Amino acid sequence: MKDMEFHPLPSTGDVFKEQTRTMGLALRPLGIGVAIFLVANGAFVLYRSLVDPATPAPLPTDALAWMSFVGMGLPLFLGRGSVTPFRPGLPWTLPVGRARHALIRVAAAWIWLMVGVGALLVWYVGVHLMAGSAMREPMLYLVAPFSNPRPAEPGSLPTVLWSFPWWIWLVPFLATTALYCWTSALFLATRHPGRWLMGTLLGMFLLALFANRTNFIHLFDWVDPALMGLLEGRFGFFTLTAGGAVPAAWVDLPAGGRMPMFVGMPTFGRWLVASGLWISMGIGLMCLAALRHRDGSGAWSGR
Amino acid sequence: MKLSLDTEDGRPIYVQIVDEVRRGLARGTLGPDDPLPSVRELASNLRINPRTVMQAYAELEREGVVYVQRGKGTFVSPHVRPNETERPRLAREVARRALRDARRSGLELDELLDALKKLGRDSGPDGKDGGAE
Amino acid sequence: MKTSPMAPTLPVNLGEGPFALSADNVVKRYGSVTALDGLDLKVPFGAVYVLVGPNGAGKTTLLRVLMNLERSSDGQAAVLGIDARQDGPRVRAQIGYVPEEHSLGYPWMKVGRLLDLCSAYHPTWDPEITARLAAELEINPARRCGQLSKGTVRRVQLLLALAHRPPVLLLDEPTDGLDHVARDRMLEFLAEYLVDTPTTALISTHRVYEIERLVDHVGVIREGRLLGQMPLEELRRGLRRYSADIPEGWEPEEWEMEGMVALRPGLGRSIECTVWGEEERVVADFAVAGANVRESAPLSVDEAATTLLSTREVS
Repeated sequence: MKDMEFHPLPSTGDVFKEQTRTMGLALRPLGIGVAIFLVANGAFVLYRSLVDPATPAPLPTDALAWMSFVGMGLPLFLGRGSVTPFRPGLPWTLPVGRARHALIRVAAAWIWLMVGVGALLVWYVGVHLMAGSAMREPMLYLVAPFSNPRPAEPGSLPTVLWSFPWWIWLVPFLATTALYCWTSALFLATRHPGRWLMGTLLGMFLLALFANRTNFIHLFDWVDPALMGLLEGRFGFFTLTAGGAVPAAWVDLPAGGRMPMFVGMPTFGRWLVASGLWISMGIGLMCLAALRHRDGSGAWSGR
Repeated sequence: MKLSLDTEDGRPIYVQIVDEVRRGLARGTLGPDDPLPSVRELASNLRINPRTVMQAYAELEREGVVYVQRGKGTFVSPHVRPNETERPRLAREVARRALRDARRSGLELDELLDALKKLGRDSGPDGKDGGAE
Repeated sequence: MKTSPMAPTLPVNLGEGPFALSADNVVKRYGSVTALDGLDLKVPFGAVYVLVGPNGAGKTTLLRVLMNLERSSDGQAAVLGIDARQDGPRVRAQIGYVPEEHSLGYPWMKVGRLLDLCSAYHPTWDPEITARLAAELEINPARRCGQLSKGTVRRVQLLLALAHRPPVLLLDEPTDGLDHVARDRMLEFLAEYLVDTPTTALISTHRVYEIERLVDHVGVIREGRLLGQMPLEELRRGLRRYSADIPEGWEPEEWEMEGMVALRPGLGRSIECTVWGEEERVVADFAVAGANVRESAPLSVDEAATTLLSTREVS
């Protein structure tokens, strides 16, 4: 049998190209829906600006932080389909290892995710610019240190004049990617990811309720700084999704008025490292989850 | 070749094919150097395993009834003499079946021969039954 | 017969090999259920092997183990010498597979697009045979996979299996859901395909009569184990139906003969007896018992399988 000519396996590149096409087709209905929404929204904004040509609002850059949740939404949308490594299906009878195939499909959908985010951004900026918005003028911000994110005397904090940097437009791409990787890992790891998500949220809610009612502050005291660190820390969730450029709080000044306060200066380097950490952890979790679907593993036998 | 396989028949399929070729030669519908259907065509038409067709053609080639030309197909041998070889072989096959049937019914050879003679006399050359007995 | 006759010892040895498909003592358990119980199956190169057995006998499980869609609990399965467990993707690249289920994976996708998709995974995809088969099987590339009838899905599955000219075909109930015309057409294509491409085929079914004429090897499976496997000629030689006259005062129910698998009373003092064994020996055994064999005939594969599967397991 050694002199037999075996049929060759497809290259990873070919499989990736084909899956990108397939994902594009699968996402077309979603894309059309989003496009319709964008057009409607854009028309509304333009109409408002024509009817009421008051001082144009600055570009609402805060919304950029919310864009990243699209990264969570994509696996949810795709997960409703019939092709999943947990169930038998035609794609798994093809000559590609099941775990590898599942990861390639995730990567192929990611391409379209980036296209979607790019389109969203371009449209969003374009519409608002046409409506007359401009980048916000530099503003004064208080800067609190990481070691003491909620100082008693905010008035004595240093201030800085800061405007949105060029790299703020890159944030949605990497933030979406990170959230996409983590959510995809969940969808690869469990048969019922929705249940796990609901379960975690419910658990967190119950925990908060329990701690609140029973005044069991010991538990909460331990959890609280860890949680805050994860969210507000140097490479935390807010750094990932907003570049750290969304103020942590608005402080009432003793002399009157309010001023926004950063926890730590938002810098390009800090944001890049944060994104790198979250994305690489997400990819690591994805690969680990994919191991469950190694060829010939029991992930779906027993129907 | 129009051939319907008899599924009730105890003979292997390749034997049925061989017999059909013999029948063609005996009746004169197949002559020397005439082409037989390709293995592909016959296997496809009859929905049978191609090896079965090859087995039949190999048997016929062994007997000298057909020859195989590489790349062209299988042809009836130019030296075939239906009257001398195929007709007797066919007759033998028919007789074998009749005899088997007779034995199954518990009849003796003489009884079968009597019936055959009578039937052959009563019916015409076209083979139609001369009348019920 | 008061109780079913005992299953005879049927041959399972097909020689030394090498074999195109082989399963060595394959065991597959799902929790407490044993689907495959030490299965030894061998398919020689170029054979068209039919695996017959009742529903739940383990036919589908075996094919899935060969495709590396399931991992065997024990034993080894190999396709063209490649271990199915170790090198799943490579094994699947050599196989044209029609699964038991009628599903094409992407209900929203158009058939034409699905063909393009699968062609990207198989460098040996033949566009010419694809076009011809699609036309002759009457497959409309513009329809969506989810809208197709069971029979049409089967035809598309067959097309997907044949289009890349694989050296091995694993067909699980290939005619399931097809009407008479479509079934007939499928057999026609399979016959042609066997000529055009050097192929080894393993067809699993509980309805043999449809594909009998394509088959040259038979394996009978029951409860995860092979009752026997052999070339078709050996089955025709070994398992025959004997019509015999029996003497007066003879009670067939009390009679036991080596290799007998079925007994039916005939008209008057005659019986029809299906026996496994060498014809000479069987006729002699009949004579010794006082019965006179009038005729012996081979059975169709379908009848043979049905008869063998009606026997009792040897405890």
